[in-house]
Amino acid sequence: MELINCIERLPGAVALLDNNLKVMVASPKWNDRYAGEDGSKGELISDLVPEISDRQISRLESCLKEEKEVSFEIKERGDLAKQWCCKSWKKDKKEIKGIIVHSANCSVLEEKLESHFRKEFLLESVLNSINTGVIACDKSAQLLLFNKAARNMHGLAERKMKPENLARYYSLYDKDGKTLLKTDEIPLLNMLHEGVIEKNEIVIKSVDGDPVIVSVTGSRLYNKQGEIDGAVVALHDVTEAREAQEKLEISEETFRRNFEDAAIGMAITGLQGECIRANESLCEIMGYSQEEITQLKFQEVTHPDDLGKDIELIGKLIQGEKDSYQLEKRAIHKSGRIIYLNIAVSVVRDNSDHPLYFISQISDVTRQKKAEEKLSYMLSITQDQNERLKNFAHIVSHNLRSHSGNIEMLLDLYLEDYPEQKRNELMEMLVAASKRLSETINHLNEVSLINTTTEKKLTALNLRHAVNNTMDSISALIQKYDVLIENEIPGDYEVLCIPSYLESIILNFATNAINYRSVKRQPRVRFQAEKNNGYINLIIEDNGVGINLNKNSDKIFGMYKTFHKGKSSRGIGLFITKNQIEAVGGKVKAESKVGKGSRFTISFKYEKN
Amino acid sequence: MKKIDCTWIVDDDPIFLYYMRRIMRSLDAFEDVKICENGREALKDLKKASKIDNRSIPNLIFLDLNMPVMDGWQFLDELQKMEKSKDIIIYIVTSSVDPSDKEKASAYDFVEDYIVKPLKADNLKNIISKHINHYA
Repeated sequence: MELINCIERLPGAVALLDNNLKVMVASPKWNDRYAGEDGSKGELISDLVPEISDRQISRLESCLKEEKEVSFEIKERGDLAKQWCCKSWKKDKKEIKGIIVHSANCSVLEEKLESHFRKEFLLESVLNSINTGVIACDKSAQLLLFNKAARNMHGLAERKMKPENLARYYSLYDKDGKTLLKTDEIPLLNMLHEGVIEKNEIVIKSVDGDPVIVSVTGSRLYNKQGEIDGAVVALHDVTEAREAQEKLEISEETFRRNFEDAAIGMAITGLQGECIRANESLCEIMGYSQEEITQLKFQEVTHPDDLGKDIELIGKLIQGEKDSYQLEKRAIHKSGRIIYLNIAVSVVRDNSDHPLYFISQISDVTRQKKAEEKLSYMLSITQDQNERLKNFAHIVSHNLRSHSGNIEMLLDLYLEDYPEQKRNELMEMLVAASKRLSETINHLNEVSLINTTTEKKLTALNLRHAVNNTMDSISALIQKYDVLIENEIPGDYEVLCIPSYLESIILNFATNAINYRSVKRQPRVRFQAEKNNGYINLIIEDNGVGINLNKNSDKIFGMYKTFHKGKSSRGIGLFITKNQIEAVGGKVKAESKVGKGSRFTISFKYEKN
Repeated sequence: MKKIDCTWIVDDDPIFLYYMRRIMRSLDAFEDVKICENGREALKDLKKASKIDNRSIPNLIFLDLNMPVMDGWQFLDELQKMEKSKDIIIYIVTSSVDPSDKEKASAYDFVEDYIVKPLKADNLKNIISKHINHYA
């Protein structure tokens, strides 16, 4: 009965069953677990533990028949499984008298198994759902693991093959994208054999897509004994990042070059107006060195009178009302002098649209500005002088007119009083002089009037008709000298002019041609017209005596220039004509050969422009 | 022979006035000729005359434009404002050949013509014939 005493004292849950599978004796823990307060002695095991199956009962019974050990699991109350270890009990080592049963808590083992299973499942899910390609191999370089991302990257699944075929099969290239990797350069094998990855960025030219740039990390796998058992690598697709980086590098480089080498001044300024960077051109414009200029704010070098506008526009950039603006402003050169700048400022914003800094392009327009100012100053002086000249001409001609008119009148009266004086040579000369004085003053008036009527509106006039009408008005002169008039002007040419001017212009050239005819041949005047560069050119050609233009080119259209002693030479005609032509926006050009004739080209504007 | 009753010459140029007097006398078509040396004087005399009788108000005025004190334009403007009991015909006689002056003058309906000096005897004869029938 030593065993019985012993069992009653055991710390575990142990019971001794008899040949009928009834409890002979049990440890306190057994009773705690399976019996009530009355204990379990004499209870049938199948009553005590209803969860026990028939099969388990028969296994127990097998221990009564021969000496052996069996063990099984019983799912008992609650969900904690128990491992039952059962062994035949021989009394005095002779015959089998019963079974010793040990009920052990086996949940630790079970949990271990389950958590192991979970981990494996988790690992597999993770491996297949991440974007990182994971590839593992055993110590003989045979592929063990090839997750979904890895398959996608290669466009291929894992396949057993000799290591030397891996690079070609999976299209593994150096990061230049051209050189196939050598077998020992393949990161997985490199890691397996050397424990390092030398080519940590490679290119995979997948069969069905664009090349993929991957960055590779990895580690060796060890077994329990600490021996190398394989290797694993992780492949990260960095294609987009690399391309973006490349683009950024290109645009940064382009910008940097543009910035540094730009012929115009460029600056990057902060939101407070501080100069962050400035290029050489800007330094030159402002007269400061790079170091000096980056100590300055644009507010400090802008002319105070122009600062307000600039700040207002900067405000609009910051508020997001505008992305850029242009402004002409004055700035102060290091030397203190004022310079004129044309600036274009744009704002650079971050992803959330907050302004980061400004980029300004600055050109020095001081010279243009000065030239402009000078020009407008000159223009105002010229206008002023012209105005004064006009007034002067007006007053002079007006006042001279009244005096010459008076002299004429007085002479008339005098000769009325003293008719016999009409034959007096001195008197005759005085009358002639008075007449010429009046004539001259009339011419002066005509000229000064041309200048004051230029604002008059121009009308479209048919050139051919104008020539015909004017020729009609001098038909007596034409007949007298048997002049051949040829009007070859197309019927539809219209020029912009003032009617009386056009008639006067044609008349003047025609009468000049007749007055300076050559006695050696029949006088001929030919009118032609052509369109040229937005003008209609009226060409008037004669076969008269001609003018020596080498001697007289700058005088031909001058006032009171006569080149011949003709009857009607008065020297004012061409001068007035030229003034009239210019008053209607035209031009005149003379060509002539002594003894051959002259050719005048008068350019008029025409309707279409 | 019928004559023009009352003619005024408004001009500051003594030579022109001398000439006009001479030539008017020789044409013998003007009954009463009065000289005013500028616009203000003419205006003053005109106001006086209109208080006396219609006969004292001129039928014709030969008016210069450039005059001291009050020029021809100012005189015309004043005349336009006045109430007149008799039609007064104005001839502008001036040295100005400026077309804008001529245009400006035509805006006054009582300005009959714009004559550029010198005023020749023949011109004056034409004027007289317009106002006296059968003037030879």
